[in-house]
Amino acid sequence: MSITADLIRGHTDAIILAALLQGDSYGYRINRAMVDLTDGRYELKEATLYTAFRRLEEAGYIRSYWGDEATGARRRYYAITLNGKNAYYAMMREWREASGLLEKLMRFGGTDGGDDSTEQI
Amino acid sequence: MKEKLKEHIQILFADAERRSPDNRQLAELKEELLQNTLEKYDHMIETGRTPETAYALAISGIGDIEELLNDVIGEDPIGRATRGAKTADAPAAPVLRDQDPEENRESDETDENVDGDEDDEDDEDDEDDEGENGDGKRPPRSRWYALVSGIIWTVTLGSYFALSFTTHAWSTTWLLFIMGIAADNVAEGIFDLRR
Repeated sequence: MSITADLIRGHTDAIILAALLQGDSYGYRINRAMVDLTDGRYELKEATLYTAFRRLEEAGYIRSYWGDEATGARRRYYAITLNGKNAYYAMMREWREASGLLEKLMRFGGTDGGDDSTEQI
Repeated sequence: MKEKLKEHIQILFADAERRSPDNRQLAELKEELLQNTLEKYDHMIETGRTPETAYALAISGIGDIEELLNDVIGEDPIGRATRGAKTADAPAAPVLRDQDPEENRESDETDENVDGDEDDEDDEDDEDDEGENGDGKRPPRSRWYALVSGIIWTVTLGSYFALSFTTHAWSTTWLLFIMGIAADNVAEGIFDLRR
């Protein structure tokens, strides 16, 4: 749990940028999609989400605008910028490289230690 | 129950609004948070939760927004304003999402928000140190090297006089300074490599 949570926490920005690559969106919709994608196991706190939105907007990776909902409160939508797309692709490259290396390092030439039945044979 | 949610968010923002009245960014954040929280509440009701459970889930999903509010009203004494340029540090933990609001509240108590942020702060301090070195505001040689170098020369000088007065071999003890220079160069090389 802690390794998974830490890993996800470390990639909040990339996750948000990936969500916005699919199209403009807003806080709750992104969180709901994240819950669906993880089969209900993870969601971001709203505080985390808005802090990341602010950080990404200040960095020029996303921009925001208010929707014109006919009923109820307005939604604040976010859109990814060209800089944001480039940042996302860079983050994705780094992640692929890191995850490939970690996979090798955590096996260290051996087999997957998680499978008890294999060990007993 | 929706009115109760609005009241809750009103209370969350009350202190920040008093400290920074007529702050547009703060008002927008409040509107955004309220809209998303109400939408979450509606969704929970649609998926068959009771109003009480939906309320509890919506509230627990907000998390600790104090730091965010401080950031928005620009009263952060730690200087969070420089954070904008840094994109690598994500400030708070995603949380395990439980169906049972009771357990969800329990997980809030062990939320990693605070720990995560403190770690980030340390990282930033370290980065700042590096940055100052790079900008030349401090001598290019590290403080550690200066310390080691000082020790080397103090020991060299002390040894020189101690050996010279005890052995009276003044013609050879001067070689200690050559050794001192060598030791100093080695130390400098090691610190350069580490940098």
